[in-house]
Amino acid sequence: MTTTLTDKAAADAAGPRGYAAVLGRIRNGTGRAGRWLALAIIAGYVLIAALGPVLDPYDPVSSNLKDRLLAPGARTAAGGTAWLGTDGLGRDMVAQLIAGARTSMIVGLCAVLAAGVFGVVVGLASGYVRGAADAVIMRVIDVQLAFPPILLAIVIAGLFGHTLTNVVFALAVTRWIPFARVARASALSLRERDWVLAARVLGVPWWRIIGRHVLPFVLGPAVAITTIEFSLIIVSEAGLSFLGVGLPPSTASWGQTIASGQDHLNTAWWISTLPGVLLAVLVVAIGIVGDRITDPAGNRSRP
Amino acid sequence: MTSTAVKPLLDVRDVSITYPRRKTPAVDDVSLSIGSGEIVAVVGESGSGKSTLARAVVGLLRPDRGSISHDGTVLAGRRTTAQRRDIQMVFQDPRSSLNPRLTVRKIVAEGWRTHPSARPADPEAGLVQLMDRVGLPAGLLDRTAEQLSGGQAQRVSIARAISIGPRLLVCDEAVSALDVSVQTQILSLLLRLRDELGLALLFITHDLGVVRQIADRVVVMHSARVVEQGPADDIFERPRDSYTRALLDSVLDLAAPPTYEDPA
Repeated sequence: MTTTLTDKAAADAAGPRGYAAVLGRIRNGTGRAGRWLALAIIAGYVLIAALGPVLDPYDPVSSNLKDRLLAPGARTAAGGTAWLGTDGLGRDMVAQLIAGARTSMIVGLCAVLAAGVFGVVVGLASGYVRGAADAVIMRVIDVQLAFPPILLAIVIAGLFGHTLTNVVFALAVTRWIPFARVARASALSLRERDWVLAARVLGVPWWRIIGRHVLPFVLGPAVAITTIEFSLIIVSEAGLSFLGVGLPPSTASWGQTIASGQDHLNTAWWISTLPGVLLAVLVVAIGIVGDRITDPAGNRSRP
Repeated sequence: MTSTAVKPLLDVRDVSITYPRRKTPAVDDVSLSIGSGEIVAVVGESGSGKSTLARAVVGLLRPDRGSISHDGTVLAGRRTTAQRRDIQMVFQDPRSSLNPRLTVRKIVAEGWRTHPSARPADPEAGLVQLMDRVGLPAGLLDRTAEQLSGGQAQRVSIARAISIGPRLLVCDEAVSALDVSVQTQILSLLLRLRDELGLALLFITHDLGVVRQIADRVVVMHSARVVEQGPADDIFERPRDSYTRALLDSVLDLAAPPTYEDPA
């Protein structure tokens, strides 16, 4: 029995063989290139969102009925070129996609920041203080998890009206829980570490213990999950806008553009397809980069 | 039983502690006292309750029954700054007892914020002096805790503890994670600090060799209770309790297997 065990251990130590090894090599090879490509794609989106109006002179939300449903590359009535076509109201697609990227980035960043700060604060309090506060917070989380996040966002956005702030608020409310859980789990183990106990014995006040001896070790895992949360939030934003309960019509959003192309899918595929593809590519790119960040942080599971 | 005429610095009286959701107490009806400058060792096997006792003494745990008094004042509820200052602790694992992200300078100086009365007029000179006192070069002040060896880290722990001028140092297995030569160095450092600063030590350990080197008095714990306590020589030469005898046999006589009957 001992010999078989050691044989197996030796085989394990030598690494995977055959099929698994080949698969592993392919994954590693494409992995590195893929990650760089994903990073480049994200950088491109950020650049386009930041430069925005500088890149394209057309107004993304002004309609022009003479230029309705122009195919990509067609000439507009005014004599310009609609490189990616126009939609059912004659709005330029390039301008809409750029403005949509801008909207996605702004909403995503603000919502993920709000959710992250709130979640980490609540999670730290819950895990460090424990007791009744922890029990209450955990039950609140359980109750909220019983509702589908998008439903919750629809209700909140519907209740408070369609403004950018309200959409950010609604999305943050649906995505704070993972941050709270990660922060709580870290705080629960950190509070028993000897350096935290030593600070307590020294009489260091609790807020300084949290700020100095607990928070810095919670931030790593929290930052790691922001990538996943960010992509979930921009998909949710597009979803809300698609359903017409998201941003006001005066703000361009990929979700709205996708919705406006629904009626023309047979004749003008580009209206719904292009923003959909852009959204999908961004989410996949963020996922690839996020995997890389979450891996060393030892935080593969998504709460 | 306490023949010392001096008023005890710390007096633990009939203390019992039971962890939540446990039936049996971790510390059961334990009494002991420590005078100024005295070294008392608490020995016992893993799970005997000695670490729990140490945590109660420094105020990390509150006893369910009994009392802990400091200088004749019962410590109940929140401790005052002065009470905290007097009793400090050194932990077992030198690595996890220092925040790995901070420099030695920040770690050692941390207590001065809370205890301004202990802060030297010139903090920088005070730091250098503290480092010298625990046998470390001042050059280590700008290292982070991660860059220290086990022995260095434990010296930094001691420097942090004595930075605010305590009168009692609780050492919870403070040398058990170190190799033997470093152990001896740390023990002689602690003995020197006792002589120089009049520091009393409550030394929690399972290592009887260490106890013999350092302790004035010995408290033997077994299954959450004190089975025997007295001057170190008495315990080592004339153990009365059968568990103490078994404990001593297991160390001193490696040839013969220990014969131990449960006193219960």
